[in-house]
Amino acid sequence: MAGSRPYGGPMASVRQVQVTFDCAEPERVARFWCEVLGYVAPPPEGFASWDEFDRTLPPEERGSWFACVDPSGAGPRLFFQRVPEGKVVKNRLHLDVRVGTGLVGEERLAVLEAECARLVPLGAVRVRLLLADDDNESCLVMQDIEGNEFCLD
Amino acid sequence: MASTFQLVIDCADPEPLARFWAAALGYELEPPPAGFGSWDEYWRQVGVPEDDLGLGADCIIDPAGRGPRIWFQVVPERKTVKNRLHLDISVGGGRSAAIEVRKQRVDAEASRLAALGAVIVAVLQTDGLDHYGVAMKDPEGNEFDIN
Repeated sequence: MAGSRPYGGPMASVRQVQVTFDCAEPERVARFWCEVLGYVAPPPEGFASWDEFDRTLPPEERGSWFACVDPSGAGPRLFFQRVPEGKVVKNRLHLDVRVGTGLVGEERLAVLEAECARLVPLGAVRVRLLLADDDNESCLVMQDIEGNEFCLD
Repeated sequence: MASTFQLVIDCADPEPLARFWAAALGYELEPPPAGFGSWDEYWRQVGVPEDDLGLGADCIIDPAGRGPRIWFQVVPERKTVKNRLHLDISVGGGRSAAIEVRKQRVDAEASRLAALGAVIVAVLQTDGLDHYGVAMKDPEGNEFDIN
């Protein structure tokens, strides 16, 4: 029950994790990732739409953040926040989108290529295909619409 | 179509970072495949050269099977700028909890993680805003927030 163990144990009992992306255009990047992962972007609680929510904000804060969630409730929320600076180096955190799990060889390559072909029209960029070696299965390196690296694997 | 993902974090030394994040998230080190006593034993079996062994555990998983697997990938380059992606860990209980309660929970968690090798960078609190958080860095300097 909420509140019954407010600080109990060595680790807080209710813990939620989200991944935050720094962006130039939060909604645009969020909607791209919804398409990639099958996530959804319900408006903030109490609002019928994101537009309605945005109208309650001062002009400079409109569009400053956006969020999307896994409709199954399993995956972490993704949060997108506007920052003034652009991306300058390769990100040290990235997502591997697991479209080829359990597949090998030509079958795996076909699945990765098909997913790449689906994402490029949405604004993703194909960077390179890494073929399977001793350590790893094949994976296809891409970038999202603001240049954030991700892999199809 | 719904896809799952794993999160990949570039690093210099995976096992200490894996242990830190396992403790931070309530995750556990991913055990080696059945029949192998260690990851090195497994990698040796699949033909990975000796020079590439000895990294220890480099993946963590959610024992509840919900959250994404996290892989700590060794890269030659060091971190140079603020990460453009970061993790937020929410322990406060959301806005239904009183701000004093949230503050206490967040501070307790920040202290717990600081004892595990993280660094407290700043308290995130603005007058008049119903938010309390602590900005931190993990043992390799990756930014994350507790709220």
